[in-house]
Amino acid sequence: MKRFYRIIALLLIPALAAAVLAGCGSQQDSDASEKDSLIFSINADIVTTDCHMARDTVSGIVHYQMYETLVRNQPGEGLVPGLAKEWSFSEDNTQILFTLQEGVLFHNGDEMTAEDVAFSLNRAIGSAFTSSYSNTMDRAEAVDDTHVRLYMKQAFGPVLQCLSASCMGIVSKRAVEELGDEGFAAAPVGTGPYRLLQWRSGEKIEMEAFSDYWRGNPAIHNLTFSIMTDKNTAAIALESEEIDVLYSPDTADREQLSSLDNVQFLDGDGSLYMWVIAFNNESEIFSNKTLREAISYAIDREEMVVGFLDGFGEAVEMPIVPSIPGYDPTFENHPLDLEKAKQLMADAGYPDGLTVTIKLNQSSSYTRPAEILQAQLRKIGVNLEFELMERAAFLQDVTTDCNYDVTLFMFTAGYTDADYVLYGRMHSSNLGGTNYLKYSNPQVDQLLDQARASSDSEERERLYWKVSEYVRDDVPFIPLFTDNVCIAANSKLTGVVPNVNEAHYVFDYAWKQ
Amino acid sequence: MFHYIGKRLLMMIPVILGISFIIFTIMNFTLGDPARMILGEDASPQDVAALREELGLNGPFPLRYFNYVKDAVQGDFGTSYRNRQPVFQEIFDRFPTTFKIAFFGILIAVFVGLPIGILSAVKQYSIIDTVSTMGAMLLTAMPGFFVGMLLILVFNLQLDLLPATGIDSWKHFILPSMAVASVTMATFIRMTRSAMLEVIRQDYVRTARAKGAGRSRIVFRHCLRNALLPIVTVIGMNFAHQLGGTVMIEAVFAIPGLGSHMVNAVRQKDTPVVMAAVIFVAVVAGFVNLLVDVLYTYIDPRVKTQYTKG
Repeated sequence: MKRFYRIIALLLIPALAAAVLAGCGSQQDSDASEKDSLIFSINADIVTTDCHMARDTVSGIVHYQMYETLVRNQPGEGLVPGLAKEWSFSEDNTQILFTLQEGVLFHNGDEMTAEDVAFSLNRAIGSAFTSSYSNTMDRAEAVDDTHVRLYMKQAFGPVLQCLSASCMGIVSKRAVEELGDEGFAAAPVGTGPYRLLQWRSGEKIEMEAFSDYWRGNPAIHNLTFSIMTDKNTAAIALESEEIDVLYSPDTADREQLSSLDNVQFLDGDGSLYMWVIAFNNESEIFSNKTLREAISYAIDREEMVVGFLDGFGEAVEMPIVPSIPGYDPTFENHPLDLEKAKQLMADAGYPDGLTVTIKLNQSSSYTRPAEILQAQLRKIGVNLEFELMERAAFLQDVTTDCNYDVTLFMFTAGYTDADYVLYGRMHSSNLGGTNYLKYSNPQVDQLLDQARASSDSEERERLYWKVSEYVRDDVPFIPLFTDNVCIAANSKLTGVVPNVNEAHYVFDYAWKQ
Repeated sequence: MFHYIGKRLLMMIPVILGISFIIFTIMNFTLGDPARMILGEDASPQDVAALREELGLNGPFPLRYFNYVKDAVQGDFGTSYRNRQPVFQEIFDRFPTTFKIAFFGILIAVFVGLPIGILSAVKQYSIIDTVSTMGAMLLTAMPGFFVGMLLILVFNLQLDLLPATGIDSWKHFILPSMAVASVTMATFIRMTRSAMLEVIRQDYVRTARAKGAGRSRIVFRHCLRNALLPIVTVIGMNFAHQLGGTVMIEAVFAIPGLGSHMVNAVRQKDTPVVMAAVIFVAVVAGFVNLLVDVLYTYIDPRVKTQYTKG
């Protein structure tokens, strides 16, 4: 026995030595009054540092610090002037004249000119990544030193929303022309409050405040984006103050993070994500409208919100989420009515029920609500069999090749406007493209065209209400619910705001004195 | 000997060709479009088609594979579909991190696992043996990422001794290495114990004891030396395995390693990156295996005579 203890002791010595050595090392300076650095964790690496060559959320979060847009979507305020001081629309809304801010410098010291702005917009319009934002834009031209005119292919109500997206950022024309696309991505030049120091692939992106920024110096000087793919790890890192901001924390960590003194958990108001049951309206089974209607009467949205989101979300009856203008809580979809649903099942030709395969992206964001749906539909004799797929396979098979009957998926609005989802998924001009519902209805097309061209918000709301009625009555898809964007941050940090567009401006952040 | 090493190196060529063909085929014939993954679900079909053309995805499969091999032989493994960077740049950036964690992980596992294994064999059925066998079983049952989480909770959150995420200093490597070590250590303990038990009953050990050799001389010189062959094999296999990256542990400690790189590339259907990474790992594994085989000759001279004959 004695020898046993001796061996245990021997084994413990190196472990303790390592621990003590580590403990002796310099701990990070936690003196808040002098702190001017910030670590923002993101859950994936960015695609590129060139704002025109990516449009994913994570790249956007990073690009918003380095680049600026003509119009800024300020969290809590909405659209405010960015690099454009003001703008005016032509009579028919197909031309927009922007008056630029003066004295704006690029990171390379050049002053921003109308030439740079027109060049950037044209570069963005030409990029395949930005097409869902720029496909209604034709070209931009510099009018004089401080004015740029944007020509549209057609009048487009949400154009300013589109221009506020990070992928429509303004870059230095000289830098792009001298360095080429690849060189520019290695040494990007924008006008934003932060400039890139280095991007260590898969690990982190380091930036520092740009000293000649036109709106003054930010309170945070050194900004690091730290890539943490595991959200549990990120939550622990926030707790141990290794990181300061965690965007889109895992909802499972909500309770734990909310209970901590050094963490503020901020719940946003809605999101741009709408979970839906999407039908292939031309498939053999679901071209049957009565059957789609039967399913619509068997859905309990509240149960999904509680079961999947712990109640932190909202059931949506309209095909527009609450964070988007045009949403109206008084809109009523089919109520939960199992008797009526069963009757409709019989009318549809399925008195004994049916078994159908539902193709799903294997992420739990879809499988968990789908399990609730499965239980709900069993009550009317619809037996859903899951076919789980890798994301790449799902996008190919379901949203590209339309080789599916029904799926539970998420419609994501790229900007805060009803046009994005409804026009993209329902307009017949998008058949073979983003309209993988294979829905086509001339009346709906006309309404969507009118709504898209109008800039009168009341008229647009009225038109989208009509479109929503078609969604309810034709049931091309069934809107289910939406969640809340949330963000967690160190409690000493001010200025952090949850934002449905995931546009987080670190420029607005500061450490409490 | 050199003749043997040369032969082994030549044998790697068909192996790698075979691997490259299998991976290329799988990446090509499974569902999913790289251009669609890059441009997103809302991109127009025209944009996707244009990008497919630009990436050269439209040619017939055999021709594309032939071109790939032709370019690869000349040292051009292509650029990532996603970020257009040469594929090996990122692999070489990430490999040192993965190597360090795998190396320190193996080091810890060897220096802790082997002594425990030896001890429990020498003291078979004693309390040490029972405790170590149970410990090994417990470690086997716990996946590395779970041990990683526990380590973070204890050493980072509770004791505040070590950083949990990142790779900025040597301290950042301690917890991930321990997590990597935990699983292999259990294997080493059990392997060492059984290998030792096998030789401990051999006649020559009894003879050594009879002629009055010291206890430590018997254990280390007569038993361990002879038990080492299977142990070294297991060590080599585990090391080679970990050089390919440990996806879950990398995710838990937010480490930019090879494993997460490969998984991301597979998810994005980034064929050139997947190909390069798999070939790279195959070559590394081949070298480690070769190294182990060469080590055999030092451990057991009988093996050497076989090589020189062949």
